[in-house]
Amino acid sequence: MSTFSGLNTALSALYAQRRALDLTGQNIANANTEGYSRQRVELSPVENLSTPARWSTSQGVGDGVRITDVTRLHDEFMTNRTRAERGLNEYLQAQSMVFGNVEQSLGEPGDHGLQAQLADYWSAWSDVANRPGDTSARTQLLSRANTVAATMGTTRQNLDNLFGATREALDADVAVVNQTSAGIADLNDRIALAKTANMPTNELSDQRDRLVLKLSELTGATGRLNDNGSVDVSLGGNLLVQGDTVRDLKAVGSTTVDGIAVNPVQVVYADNNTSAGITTGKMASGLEALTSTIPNTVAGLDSVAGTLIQKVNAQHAQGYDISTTPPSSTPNPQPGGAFFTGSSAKDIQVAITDPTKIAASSTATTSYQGDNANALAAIAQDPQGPDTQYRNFVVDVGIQAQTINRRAQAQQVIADDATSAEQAESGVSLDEEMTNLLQFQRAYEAAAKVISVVDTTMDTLINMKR
Amino acid sequence: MPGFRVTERSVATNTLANLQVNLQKNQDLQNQLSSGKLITKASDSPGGAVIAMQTRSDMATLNQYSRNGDDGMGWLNQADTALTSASTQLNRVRELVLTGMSNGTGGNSEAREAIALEVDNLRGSMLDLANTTYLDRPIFGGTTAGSIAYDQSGNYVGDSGSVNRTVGANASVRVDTDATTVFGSGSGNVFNMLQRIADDLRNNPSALQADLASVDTAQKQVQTGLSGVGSRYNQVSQLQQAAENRVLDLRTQLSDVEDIDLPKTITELSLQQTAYQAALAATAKVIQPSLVDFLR
Repeated sequence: MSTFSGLNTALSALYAQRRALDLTGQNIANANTEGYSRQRVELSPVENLSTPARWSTSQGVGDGVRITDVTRLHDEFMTNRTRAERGLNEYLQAQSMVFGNVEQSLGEPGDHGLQAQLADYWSAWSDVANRPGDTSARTQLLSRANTVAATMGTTRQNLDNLFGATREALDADVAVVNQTSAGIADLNDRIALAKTANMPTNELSDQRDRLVLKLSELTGATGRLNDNGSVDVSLGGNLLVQGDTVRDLKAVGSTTVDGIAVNPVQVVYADNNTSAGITTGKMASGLEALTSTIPNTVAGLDSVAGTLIQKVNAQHAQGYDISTTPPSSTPNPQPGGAFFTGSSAKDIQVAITDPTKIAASSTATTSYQGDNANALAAIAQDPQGPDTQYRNFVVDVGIQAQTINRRAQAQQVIADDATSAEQAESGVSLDEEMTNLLQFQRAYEAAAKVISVVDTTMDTLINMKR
Repeated sequence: MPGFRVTERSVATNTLANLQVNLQKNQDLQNQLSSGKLITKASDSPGGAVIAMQTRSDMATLNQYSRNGDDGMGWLNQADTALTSASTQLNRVRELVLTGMSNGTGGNSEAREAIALEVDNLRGSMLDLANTTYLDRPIFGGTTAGSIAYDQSGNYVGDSGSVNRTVGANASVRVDTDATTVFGSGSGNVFNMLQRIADDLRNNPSALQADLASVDTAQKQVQTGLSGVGSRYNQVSQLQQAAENRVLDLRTQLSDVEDIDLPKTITELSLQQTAYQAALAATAKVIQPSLVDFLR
């Protein structure tokens, strides 16, 4: 124990308090940094020699303070919870958007949707029934039939485009996932090395956790912290990132809605082509849209179109038209041919271009009778007819969309809460930092005061000799 | 959240989320107000949407019934006018036959010739009446493709088809009139009869007694036809009225399901806006101060 040990004690305090002040500055600087976890200086007293030994002298006073560690204050449990909730939230929000798009492409209920156009079409049949010989009524029927066919075709095309866009987005998401997992592996490696070398890893860990969160939002992947500071990311029971090794994903399958029956869309591991098992996150929504939501909607629309074609053609075939066989100008009634061609919303077309080919009458002898046209107009009320089927289809989509929207709203609140709770745990509180700032400042001032007092004391001692 | 630390970021996250919810509600209400509709897509209310779509489809059908009814009433009106005139003309024929009879067998043949000429004219105008058209279709010609029901020699050239209009669910009403029941069929039809009367007036006055009876029969047939037309007109007009009333009911129903309650929505919107402004004001107050403000 030297006379001057008091100076060293105070010096260690100056060092420690300044380091603590620096760290407070770092915390304040990152108060608004996404994913930053606050850090704290762990101080511990330097103990005096306490092991009894023959020549040891001790006054029983310690030798100042030292910094043992800089801790990153974050809660792995909360981080995991945030990952899970945000993953599910991303899935539901994306699903809600998919349904929004699907509903938008249907445009029901309204005065201009397919339902209204079908109503116009049936009413045109009634007009033909009222005036079977009137070419204008027949022409109007054909133009309204064309409108119905075109709307079905356009809606179907919109859904096809939606499928294409979603498929491209899936590819882009897979690219982001691969990039992110590579980033995580790289950071894992650096963290493990730094840890071995006893270097600080706090900022690297923050960065890495941000990437894991991104991965969770995309795929619902979960992370597990290892002893060496690295995180293993698992997806669907398989390890996507293990330490510094990564498995790449790839999206396979048809790029058109018509091709998915033989070539379904999947996200697989690039190395062995087994399914990645993505069940939540934004990509799960994309996959669901590509494997069921959009294909089901397309199938529903196709089936409405199919029923329309089949019902109309069957009834039309029972009637007779008023076509003439040149050079004769008197009608030579022929049985009605196909009114629509095609079998689905994709290829539905009006087969008739000549208004006299519309078979409005049920008999060849009285071809100016409108009873077959009446029978066709009555398909509008058929409980198995296209109108009813279309209504059920729209409402079906509506119910699914409503369910998803409600879940999405609820999940948004939960995800926000989880994020906020994590922020509360590991975020920077400026009030706290200001308090710390004051504390460390005062301690620094006091330590400086100790030095000056020791100095004065020594001065007194040295001047005694004179 | 007792026991939680609270940091600026967590306050900001919560505040933003709440403001977002507030703004979302605002947007929903604005949407409802600007579109005037509660349901703009099926997911807003699947139950309401199915009613709205069903109601729209029913309205379209009923409107068509109503239009069919208009058309049917046109046909029947035309038939009514034609048959009323036909009845008047048959009365005139009866008077002429009686005059011819009173002139007797030995009477003035020139006078009978004059009467015969008038009967010929009446036959011509009866033919015109029988060929009355509505929108280019002969109303007594069934569903014939031609433009007349009787040719100039009084032969029926129409067909046996019937023109029906659907004016209600399962209510199909015949709007043309079967020519053979009002004007007689085959050689016994009213035009041949008038031809015969004119001949009898000229050459065989003694047969006029029998002719008088056939005029009465023809008159009776026209009257029966007329009353049939009248009752069918009534039927169509009642069914049409029923369809129109139903459309009004459905429109009210559709509006109840689909349209916004304006005062309610406006009140809700202003409440929502107040809430939003309060939230904004609170946010500005809460986030601003920190310990920094109170340190030198």
